[in-house]
Amino acid sequence: MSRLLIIDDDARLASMLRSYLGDAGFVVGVAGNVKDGLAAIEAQPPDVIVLDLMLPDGDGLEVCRRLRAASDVAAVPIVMLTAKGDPVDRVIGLELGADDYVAKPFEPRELLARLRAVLRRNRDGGAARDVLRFGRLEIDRGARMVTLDGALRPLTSHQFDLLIALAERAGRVLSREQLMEFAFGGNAGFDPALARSIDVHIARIRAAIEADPKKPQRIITVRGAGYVFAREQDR
Amino acid sequence: MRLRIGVPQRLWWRIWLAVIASIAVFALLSMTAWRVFFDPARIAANAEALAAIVAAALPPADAPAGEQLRLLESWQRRARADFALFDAQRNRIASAGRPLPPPRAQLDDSHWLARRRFDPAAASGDGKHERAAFVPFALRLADDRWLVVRRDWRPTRPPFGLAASLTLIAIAVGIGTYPVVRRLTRRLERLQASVERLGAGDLKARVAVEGRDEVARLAASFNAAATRVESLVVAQQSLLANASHELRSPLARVRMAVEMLKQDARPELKHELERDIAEIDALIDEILLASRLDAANREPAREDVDLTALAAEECARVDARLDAQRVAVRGDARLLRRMLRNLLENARRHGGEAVDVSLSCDDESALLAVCDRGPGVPDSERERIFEPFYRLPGASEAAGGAGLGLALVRKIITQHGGAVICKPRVGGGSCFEVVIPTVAAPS
Repeated sequence: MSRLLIIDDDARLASMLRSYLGDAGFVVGVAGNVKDGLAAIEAQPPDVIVLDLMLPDGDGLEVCRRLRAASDVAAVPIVMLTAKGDPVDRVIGLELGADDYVAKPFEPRELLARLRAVLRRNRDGGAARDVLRFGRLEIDRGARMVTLDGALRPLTSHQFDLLIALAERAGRVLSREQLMEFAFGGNAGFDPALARSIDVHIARIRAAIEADPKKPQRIITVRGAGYVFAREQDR
Repeated sequence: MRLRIGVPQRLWWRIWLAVIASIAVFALLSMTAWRVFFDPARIAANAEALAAIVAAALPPADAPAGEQLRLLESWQRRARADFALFDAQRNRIASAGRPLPPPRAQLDDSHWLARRRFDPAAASGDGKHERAAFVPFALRLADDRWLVVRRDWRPTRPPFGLAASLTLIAIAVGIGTYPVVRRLTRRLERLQASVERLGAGDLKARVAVEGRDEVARLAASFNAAATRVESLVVAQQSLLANASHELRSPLARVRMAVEMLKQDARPELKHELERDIAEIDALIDEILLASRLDAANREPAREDVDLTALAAEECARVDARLDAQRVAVRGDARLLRRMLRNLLENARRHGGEAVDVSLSCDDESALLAVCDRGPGVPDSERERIFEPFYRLPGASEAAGGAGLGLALVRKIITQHGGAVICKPRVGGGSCFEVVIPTVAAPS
């Protein structure tokens, strides 16, 4: 059972969250402001913190900064609750060491998924890993593993290289030739069989990571041009 | 406004004073020049010489008075001078022109009948010295007669021609008023530049208040107005930001509550609630974004955006057909994504499932068309649909779409230097055509 601390001045939301996350197996504590929150953390460090950005006696970013500076709780993962549509705050939140964020009004299931993800990541060694994250999709470059909602999605080595080539250039259209070059480099030499098989490999990757491989949302075909890896996923 | 004697503060007063002062200076200079070029001694010498010449031409003393008179009259016309002839007893024999006094009884030699030299004390600017220069001169002839001569003192012509005088006055006024006028217009130019900056969205634009005249007061009024506009805009933005935050808190609670509804709740009702919450959330988002775009006191981000990839991503979300060339533009990726998403949302909401998107480019522009097979838009409404919260006549509230979607589309495209129009589609439906320049304007 993981101990969770919610720091949010919206007592009614916090009480619903307590009940919802309690049902999901968390032991939930609630603090309504910065002072109570820091006191609760000192009394008993939680396993994970849900932190609101705007609090009556300070802002969440400040709490984030102080927690990261304190050696005994520096590793406790933090999920920030932010207002939607403020990219500056998002960046600052993550730069200051928040592990993830959800924008109000959030889907409770999404918050739950993210809490579980940061806890799992924390257990696995956290920041040391070399991970690309797109919504619920995680690509671990170091371990060469792909997970969706925390569940492992098996890929062959070629498929993993292809996915990395796409994901590292998310938001750009890549032709099959470019994809070959980025995924397998020049040293492999041009392999016509491999080039022909690109589409097959893409289909396999889609089967592994798309909710509906017939209507792909992560790897999208641009007719006559190639493929693009969606920059915004699960949003 | 107090008018302080000595230091004129009012602008009209200063301009008027500059004109008067320059004319006065010009008049003073002309008078000085007149005095410098006007030589009384020379004119006096002329009078003596004229007297000698006429005396030599006079008939002898025993000639009839009529003959003497004729000679005097002819010289009077020729020399523009007055003449009078007296005998030794100072009795008048003949005279021509205006009357002249007889020579002085106590003097036997030729003499001037008044002070001859120019006396500055006597001349006070009313032309007395000219008259002083034209005093009568009495010449004693060999036969003891007296010839009195006076040059006509009336000026025969103005010192300069009329046109030359007017030109000189104009030049004098021009030079005299130049510094005043130039200083005034410089200040007005600075003020105008500030007004333009404010109009362009730089809410921090202020102008320095110099002096205490009308322009200074205008500058102060401008500053006060600009401060007020700035505080209003800041207040409006923070109000919207706070409102959006405050609205989202209860929305988050509602969303939470919906999730926690017991399993026996009807799933379609739960789904409906989720959709409504998402719609309110999107609307809050759009209002916030619209107010940010309106303020426009920030330069939008300019990054290379792969428009094809963006379109592919957004089309995949809503399952629209995309026919695309490779197109890249410079702009704000977040805003361009929003623009595409709003166009696609609009097409899907009003045009059903069949949405076709095409993306191409020519030398200068990216051309995007989002086409649907919906009921289409009447000619008269093609522009109005871009107004915020506008709804087509007859469209029901339940159909949705009475939001900011298309208004935001137009704002975003305008900010990127492009244009968007709504056209009827061949075979039914509408096409939204977007043109965005691919070559970034030099900044």
